[in-house]
Amino acid sequence: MRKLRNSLPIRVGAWLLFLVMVSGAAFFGLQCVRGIQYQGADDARETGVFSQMVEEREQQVLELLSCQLRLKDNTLDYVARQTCQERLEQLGEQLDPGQTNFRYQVLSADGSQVLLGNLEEQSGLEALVSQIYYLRLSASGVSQMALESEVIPEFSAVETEEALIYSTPAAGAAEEMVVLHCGVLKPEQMEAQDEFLSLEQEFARCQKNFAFYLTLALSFAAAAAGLLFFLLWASGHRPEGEAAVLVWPDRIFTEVWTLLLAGGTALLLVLLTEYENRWIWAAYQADSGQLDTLCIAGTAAITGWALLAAIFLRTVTVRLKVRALARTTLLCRVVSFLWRRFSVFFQELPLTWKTLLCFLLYLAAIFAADHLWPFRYWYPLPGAVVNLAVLMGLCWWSAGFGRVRKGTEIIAAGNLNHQIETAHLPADLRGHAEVLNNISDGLAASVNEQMKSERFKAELITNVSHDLKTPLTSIINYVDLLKATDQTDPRAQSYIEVLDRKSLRLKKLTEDLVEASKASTGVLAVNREKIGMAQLLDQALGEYEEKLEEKHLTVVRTVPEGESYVYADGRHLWRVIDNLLSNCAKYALEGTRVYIELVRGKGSVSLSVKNISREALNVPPERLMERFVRGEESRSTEGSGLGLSIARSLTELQGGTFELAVDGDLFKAVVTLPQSS
Amino acid sequence: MHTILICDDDRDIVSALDIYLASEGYRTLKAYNGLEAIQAVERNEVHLILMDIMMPELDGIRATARLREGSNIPIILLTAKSEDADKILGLNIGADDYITKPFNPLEVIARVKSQLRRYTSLGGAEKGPGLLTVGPIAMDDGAKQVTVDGEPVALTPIEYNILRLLMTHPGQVFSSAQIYEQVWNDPAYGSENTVAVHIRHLREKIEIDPADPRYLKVVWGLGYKMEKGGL
Repeated sequence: MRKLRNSLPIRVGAWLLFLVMVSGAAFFGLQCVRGIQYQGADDARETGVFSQMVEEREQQVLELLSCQLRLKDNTLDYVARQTCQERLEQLGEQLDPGQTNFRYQVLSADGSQVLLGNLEEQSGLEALVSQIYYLRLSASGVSQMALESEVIPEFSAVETEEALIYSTPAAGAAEEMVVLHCGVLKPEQMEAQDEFLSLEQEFARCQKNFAFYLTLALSFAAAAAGLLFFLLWASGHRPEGEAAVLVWPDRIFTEVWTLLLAGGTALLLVLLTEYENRWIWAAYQADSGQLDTLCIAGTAAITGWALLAAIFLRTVTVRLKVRALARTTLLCRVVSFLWRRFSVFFQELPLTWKTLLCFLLYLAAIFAADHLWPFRYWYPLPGAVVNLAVLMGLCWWSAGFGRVRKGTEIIAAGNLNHQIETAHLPADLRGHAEVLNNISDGLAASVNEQMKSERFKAELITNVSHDLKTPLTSIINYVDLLKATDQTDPRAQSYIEVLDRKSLRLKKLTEDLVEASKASTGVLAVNREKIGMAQLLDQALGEYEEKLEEKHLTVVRTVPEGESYVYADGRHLWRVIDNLLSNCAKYALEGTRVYIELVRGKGSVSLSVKNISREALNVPPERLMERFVRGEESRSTEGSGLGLSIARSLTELQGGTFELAVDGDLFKAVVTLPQSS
Repeated sequence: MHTILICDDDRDIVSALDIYLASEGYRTLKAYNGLEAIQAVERNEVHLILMDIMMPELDGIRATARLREGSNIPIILLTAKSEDADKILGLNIGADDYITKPFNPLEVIARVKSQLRRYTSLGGAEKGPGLLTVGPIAMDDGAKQVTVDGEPVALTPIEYNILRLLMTHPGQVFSSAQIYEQVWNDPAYGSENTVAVHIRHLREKIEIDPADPRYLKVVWGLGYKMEKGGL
């Protein structure tokens, strides 16, 4: 079926067949119209047309009669007499038995005398005609009628058993009366080519074939409708493609087609008026030839119009199929062009001007609503409509603004992948939202980049630490083995000792370096929980008790009543305190006191460690926290110079702050951590 | 005489370990990657394996997993990977202990001895009444004696009481104050770091590496606990 639909020859064939069907339907339809007036009659004589024809002939006889009466009047002037004479001859010719199948006799009132007639033989009107019509007339009535020949006298018909008897209303009983007997020859005896014979033939043809014609007309119409449906269904499809496409007639503006169809229809209607007159006249005359011509002309006109209508329907269907009905109209094009121009102009205006323009438009609309309303009642209605529209516009704008603001908040909260939905936003907000989306895209990309580099850093640290540790293992082990060998030279012994010390120092340095890198790059995992700071301090001091005692350092510990809980990672926090205490053990002046104080602040807990430095601290505290910086420049003491840097990084990893202060030889470190609820 | 398989891709480390272990009287076998280690175990009677993690062909983790399919030889991982995640992975896959590089040779020897003792002689130490064990640590409450890998350890009464408290509740964390109250039978007021110092001493006696304890663990900021089951 689809193949059938898309095939070009099939469709051309369908169009031709459609034309044939439409013309067939029109032709046979007209034939039916031609025959419909004869429906219900068994005989041509029973039809209205026949009675009219008889009446016409009767009128001719009456006119003939009145002409004769007038010629008897001697007072008539020459011109009138001449006219009358001519008319008389004309009528005589028309009523000649060779010219017509109408037969008549005008008898005197008593019926004894034949005044006029067109019977070839005196006897037998009854024998010739199928039905006799009677008419009693007064002579004066006849003459008066003839005098005012344009005016058809009002006859009052009196129906008797066998005949219709006409009498003029004003006829006096005393006046001279005549009687008209007339009739039409029986069909088999008709010889003259007049309207009665024509009617007989027409009746015979149309009456007999009416049902056949009707059937044909309906079948053709049904076939035409079916074909039209197929054509509409197939319209727009190409042999090569599935979807409907526009072809050149569909690119012509819809208005042009509409105008064409309207013009065609108007032409058809005008023609129809003229056509109807001719048709009625021809039908009145039962003029077969004329009717045939009219039928063909009508068929042609209807077919033409149907073709135009079908083409119109086809193009509309195609446009509907490709959803292009609106945009192929000229009106739509013009309106959309103007709208585009206007909106471009409007969009390019600065926002302030836009607002101003909108406000002016609003004022104009309100003014128009107030003053141009043509009705006296309902006057608040247009104003309300304008205000409602403005309200809806404002709601639209603020809803859009709300959406953009919410999206911005989400992006600001860190969800950089969030995209603000820009559909149905006012143009200005849409631009704004798009810019925000771009920013979030850029940010997300840069954060991704940063994460990638963090991962790279973590990998690097792991690899470097592995690569450093493996040879270091060998160094330490072989130095250790070397120690166990017999060295006769005492210098060798001291050299080995140096190697031993330095290799262990290198080990410590390597470990610190890796730890410092991890802490400062944030590669370390942090598991924060509720930690008792006083407990941790006790544990740490327990670990360091002997080391501090060795240096004769006294710890002065100030801890508030009860436990101070912080939210931190216990192991990292231990490393911080470990570093601070090991600093004390390494750098504090022997025999001094170390002050350790725990202070509960608002939402935070601070731990401060104060000690007197053995060496003069000639570097600012900020420098002390830098990597590889120690209080003294000689670098002769143990330690890597990484301790404070590690402590600071670890504290910051746990969301705390690490501060150093140097006052003369007084060294003070303060670790502040968020309090746990 | 026990046979120990040393497996590391760094030949110097292997020969250094070989020297240390040989001087302790162990017979050694050498392998330089995981595959060689597996072959060596198949061909010889091996009592313990020292295995590096990062090796070509077959790494230590995979080799351990394969060996564990058909053997329960003690395996000690020697690793430069000091991340917790690496240690946990190694232990979960079936290793018995781990030593991070650069290592102290004495620690290696200590751990090797410990593992061998548990593998050979203490495999099915009978549990008498009042005998508490956590890993290699065994406490005979009747005799008031504590042994680590069968070696008796001398503890002070306070250390003994702390250890008993922790060993009777393995896995439970005790704060310093709780320990003080239970061991000294005094309110904890002013105890300060007494408990911490005792625990450190205790750790030095029962742990091979007191700075990285396997059994008596410090839970920083919360207290102390005895690892449940240990390593």
